[in-house]
Amino acid sequence: MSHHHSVRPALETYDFSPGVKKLSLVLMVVGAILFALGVFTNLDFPARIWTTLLHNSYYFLAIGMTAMFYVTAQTIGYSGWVVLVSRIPEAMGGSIPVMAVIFGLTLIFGVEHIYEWAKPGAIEHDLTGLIGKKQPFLSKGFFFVASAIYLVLWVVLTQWVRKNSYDHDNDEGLSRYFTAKKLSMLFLFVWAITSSTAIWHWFMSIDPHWFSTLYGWYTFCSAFVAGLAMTCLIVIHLRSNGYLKYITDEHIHDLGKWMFAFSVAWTYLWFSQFMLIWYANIPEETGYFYDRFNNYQVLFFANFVINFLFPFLLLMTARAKRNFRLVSFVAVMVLIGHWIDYYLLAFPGAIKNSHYMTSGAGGDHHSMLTMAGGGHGAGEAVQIFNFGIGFLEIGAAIMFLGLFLFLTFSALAKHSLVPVNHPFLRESADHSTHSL
Amino acid sequence: MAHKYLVGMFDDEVPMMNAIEKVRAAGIAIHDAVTPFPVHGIDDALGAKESRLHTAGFVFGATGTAFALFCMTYISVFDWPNVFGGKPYFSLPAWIPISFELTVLFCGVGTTIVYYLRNGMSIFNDVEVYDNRLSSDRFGLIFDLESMDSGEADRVSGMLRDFGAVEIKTQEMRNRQPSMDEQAS
Amino acid sequence: MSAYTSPVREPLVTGSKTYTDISNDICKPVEDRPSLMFMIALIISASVAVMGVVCILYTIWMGIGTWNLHRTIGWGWDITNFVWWIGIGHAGTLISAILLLFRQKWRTGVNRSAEAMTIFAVMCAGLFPLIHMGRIWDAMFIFPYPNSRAGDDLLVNSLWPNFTSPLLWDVFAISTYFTISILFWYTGLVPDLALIRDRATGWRRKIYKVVSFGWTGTARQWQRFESLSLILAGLSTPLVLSVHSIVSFDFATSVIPGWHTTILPPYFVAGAVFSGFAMVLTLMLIARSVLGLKDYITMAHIESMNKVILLTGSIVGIAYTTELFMAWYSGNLYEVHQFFESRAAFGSGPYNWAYWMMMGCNVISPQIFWFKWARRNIAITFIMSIFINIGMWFERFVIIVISLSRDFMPASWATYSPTWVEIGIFVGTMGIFMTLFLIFIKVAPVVAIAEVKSILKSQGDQYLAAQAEEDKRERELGTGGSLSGAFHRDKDGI
Repeated sequence: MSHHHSVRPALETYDFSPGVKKLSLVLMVVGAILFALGVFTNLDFPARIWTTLLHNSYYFLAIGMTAMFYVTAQTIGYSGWVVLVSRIPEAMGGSIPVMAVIFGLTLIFGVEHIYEWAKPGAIEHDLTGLIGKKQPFLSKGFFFVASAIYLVLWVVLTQWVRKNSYDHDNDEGLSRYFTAKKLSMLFLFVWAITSSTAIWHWFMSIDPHWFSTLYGWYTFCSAFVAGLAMTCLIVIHLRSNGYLKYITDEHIHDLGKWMFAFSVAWTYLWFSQFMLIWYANIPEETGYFYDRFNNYQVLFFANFVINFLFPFLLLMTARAKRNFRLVSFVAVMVLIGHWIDYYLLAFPGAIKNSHYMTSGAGGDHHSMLTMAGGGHGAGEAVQIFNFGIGFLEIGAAIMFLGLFLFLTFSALAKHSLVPVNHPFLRESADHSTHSL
Repeated sequence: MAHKYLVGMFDDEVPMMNAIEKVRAAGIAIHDAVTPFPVHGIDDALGAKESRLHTAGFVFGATGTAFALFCMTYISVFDWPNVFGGKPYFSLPAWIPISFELTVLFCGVGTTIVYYLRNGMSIFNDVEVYDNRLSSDRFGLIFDLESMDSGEADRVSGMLRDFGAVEIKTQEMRNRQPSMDEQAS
Repeated sequence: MSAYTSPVREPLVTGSKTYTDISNDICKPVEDRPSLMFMIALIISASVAVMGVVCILYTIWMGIGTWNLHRTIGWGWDITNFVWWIGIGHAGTLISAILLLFRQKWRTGVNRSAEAMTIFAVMCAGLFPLIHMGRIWDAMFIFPYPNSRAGDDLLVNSLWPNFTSPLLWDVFAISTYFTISILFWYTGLVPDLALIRDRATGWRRKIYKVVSFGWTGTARQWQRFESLSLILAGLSTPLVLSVHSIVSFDFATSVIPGWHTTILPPYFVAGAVFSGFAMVLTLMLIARSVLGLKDYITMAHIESMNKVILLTGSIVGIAYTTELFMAWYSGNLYEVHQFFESRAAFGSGPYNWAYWMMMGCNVISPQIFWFKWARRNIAITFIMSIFINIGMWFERFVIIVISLSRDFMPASWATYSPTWVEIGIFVGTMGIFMTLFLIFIKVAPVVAIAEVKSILKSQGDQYLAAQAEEDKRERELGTGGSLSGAFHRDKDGI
C-alpha cells in the first residue's frame, strides 16, 4: 500500500526513426520546390519573398525559444510533473542556432525589401517626419547591432541551459540542478527584456508609424501557444510510438491545460490590444487594424476563430484533454492559427511599404493614406493581394517545418529522453492531476 | 426516527483505504465514509460515480453569455438606440466585458447553489454527526446496523479491528442518515 | 495515497505535526479568549474605521465640494484609493485560483487569509466610486433594470445605462468579483467551521452549526466540494484578470496621454498581484507570529511569496520602461510630454517626485529579492512589503492625477492636493479593512485546515525525512538514483 515504491524511470534513448527522418526531408524538398515556384512567379515582388522568409524563420525560431522559455520557467517554478516531458522542449531548443542564422541572414539581405524605414531616402519621403524622429532606433546600424546581440544572447543562453541539462545525466548530485536554476533565471531575465525589444525591431517597425505598448507581450504569447502545441504533438507522437512509457494521460492532460490556458491568455491580449485601439479610435493607431480588417478580412477572422474558439470549445472538458487525437488536432490547428497571426503581423505592412516605395508618383502619400483607399495604383494592388497566401508562403512554411522537425528529432536522438538524475523525476513519474 | 449505525474509526487514511477495499471485496455494503479532508482515490475505492457538477456549470455559464448579449442587444439596438462616441448601436467589442462577467457570475452562482442543494446543506439543517472527531483526526467507515443482523455486525467489527481501526462503536442517531448512494440521487 | 515528493523540496509543514496537532493549533486562536493585545488592536482599528465613516457621512451630507477635485483633475485620491484597494484584493484570488492550477502547494498556508483580504479589500474599494457619485441615494441607477425614468410603459420607455462605458463594465466586474470571491472563500471555509462546531459546546456549537450549513464530511460531500473548488478556481482565474483589466479600461479606452496605452490591462493585473502579495505579507508576518502558526506559514512560504513579488515587480518594471520607450517611439508630442516632462524627467513638473517614489518602491527596491538571504529575512520582507504598499499607491496616483494634471490645453493645467476629508476617508478604509480582518481571525480558522491536512503526508517534514532515509537505503541496495537521500536541500540552494 505504501507509495514509497514508486517507479523510477531509467535512461531511455531515442533513435531518429527512419519514418520521421524521411518525413522531414520530404517536407523540406516539397516545401523548397513550392517555395522556388513562388519565388519565380514573384521575382518582381521581392518584398513578398523576403517577408515570407522573415515570417517563417522567425515563427520557427520563436517556437524553439518559447519551448526553452517553458523549460526554464518550470525550472524556477519548482515544477515536478513536467520533468519527464522536459527533454522534448529542450530538443526543440536544439533548432535555435540554425534558425537564428537563417533569420539573421534574412535580416541582412532582406532589410531594404521588408522595412520602409530602411529603404533609401525613407526619411525624406516620410511626410510625417516620424521616421526621422525615431532615429537611431530605426536605422540600419542600430538595427543590426541590436539584432546581433539578441540572437547571440538567445543562442548562447539556450544552448547553455540545454548542455547543463544533458550533462546532468552523467553527473550525480544536485549541483547541476542548482546550476539549472541559475541559468534559467539568467535566461528568463534576458528573454523578458529582449523578447519585447527584438520584436519591436523585427516586426513592429514594419509599420513604422504605428506603435502599441502591448505588442511585445502579445507576440510572445502567440509564439508560446505555438511552442506548447508543437510540444504536445511531439510528446504524443513519441508516446504513441512506444517511447516515454511513464508519460501518461495525466501529463497530456496538463499539457492540454497549458495549451488551453494560454490560448485564452492570447485571446485576452488580442482583445485588449484590439478593443483599446478600436475604442479610442486615434487615426495613427487605428490604421493598423483598418488595413488588416478590410484587406485581410478572412485571415483576420480566421486568426481569432482558430486560435480562440478551437482550443476553447474543444479542450474545455477534462476528458478532451486526455484524448490524444483531439489534443493533436487542436495542436495542429493552433500551429496553423498562430502562423496566420504572425503572417498578419508582418505582411500587411511590408506589402503596403513596397507599393508606396515603388509607386514613385505616390511619394506625396505616406503609407497610411495609401492604405486608406488612395487609389494611386497601390490601392488596387492591395485589393488583389487581400488573401495573399500562395505557393510562396505555403512552400516556405512546409520547408521550415521540415527543417525544424529534422533539427529537433536529431537533437532528441543525441540524448536520453529521460533526465535520469533530476531530483523531481520520481514526482513526475508519480504524477496525477488529482493530487493538487 | 432513531437509527443505529456502526462506526469504525481510523487514525490515518491509509488503513481506512485498505479496509474499504477488503470490506467491499467481502461483499459488505458500506453506508458512508466520513473524513476530515478529501482523501485522494476514495471515490474510486467506494465505487462512487464522477460528479456532474461541471455540466451544470457549463449550462449556467452559457445562459449568462446569452442573457447578457440578448439584453444589451435588445436595449441598445431596439429599445433605446443611442450613439455613444461614434460607435455603432451594436458595439460588440464594447460588450465583451459585460458578457464575460455575466457568464462568470451565472456559472459561479448557479453551480454553487446546485452544490449546496445537492449536498443537502442549509443554515436550517439540523445536523447530526457520527462522531465529533470525524472532522478533525479520525476517518470513519459507517455501516447501517438496521440492515444487518448481530452476527454480521460482529463480523464487520472484527474486520475493522483487523485492518487497524482504533475505535469501533455503535452510534444511535435521531434520524436516519442517507447512504452514499442516496446522496447521489 | 499521497504522491511521491522529492525530499529535496523544503517541507511546508514543520514540527512533525499530526492531524490532531493541526486541528488544535489552527483552531486555538478561534477558541481562546481574545487577548489584551487583540482587543487593543481591535479598538484602535474600529476607532479609525469610525473616523472614516464620519468623513464619509460628512461628504455625503455636504457634497463632493468637501474634496479638492476640480475641472482639470476630476479623479484624485478617491479613484487612486479605489484602484489600490481593488489591486490588493487580487493576491487572494491569485493564490487560491491560479496557484491551484499551477500546483504550487505552498498556497495552502496562506490562501484562506488572502481570500479574506480579497473580500475586505473589495468592500473598501467599492466605497469610493459610490461616494464619488455624489448622490449615493441614486446608486441603483447604475444597474440596468426596467424603470419609469422616461415614462410609464416600463419595457418601452425605460432609460438604460450606457453599455459601451467602461465605468459600467466596472460595475459588473466588481460586483461579480465580490460575489464569486465570497462564494469561493465561504465554500472553502465551511468544512473548517464544521470542525470548530464539532469541537465546541453550548451556544458556540449552536452558532457554528448554523454557519457550517450542516456539513458532515461524507465522501459525496467531499467529492462535490473538490469539483466545485476546481470550477470556481477555473472561473476565478480569468475573472481576476478581467477585473483589473476592466479597471485599466477606465483609463485606457480614453485618448489621454498616460492613460491610453495598450499594455495597461496585463500590467494592471501584474501590479495588482504585486501589491496584493505585499499586503498579505504585511499582515501574515505579524499573524503567524502572534497566532503561533510558524509551522504552517514557514520560511518556505515567505520565500515563495517574495519570489512572486520579485517577479511581478519586475513585470511592472518592464511595463514602466515599455511605456517610456513607446512614448518616445510614438513621436507624439503629448505622449513625450506626459512621460518625460510630467513624470520621469526630474525637475520639469510638479509631480516628478511621485513618479520616482513609484519607481523606487516598486521596481528598484524589490530587486533585493534576487538574494536568498533577503527573501528569508523577516525584517527585510516586512519593510519591503510596506514599501510596495506605498509604491503601488503612488503608481495609481501617477497614472490618474499626473495624467490629468497636464492635458492638451496648457491653460487648464493644474495641481491637486487632498483635503482632510479625503485623507480621512482613505485612512478610514484602512481601519475598516483591519477591523474586518481582526474579526475574521477571531471567528474563523486563518489557515485552511482541511487543505493543510491533505498535503501533510506529501509535505510534512517528518514524512520527507523518512522518504530521504528510504531513498538512501535504496541507494545502498543499488536500486536508487543518484540523489537518493538528499533531504531538504532547496533551503540551502539558490
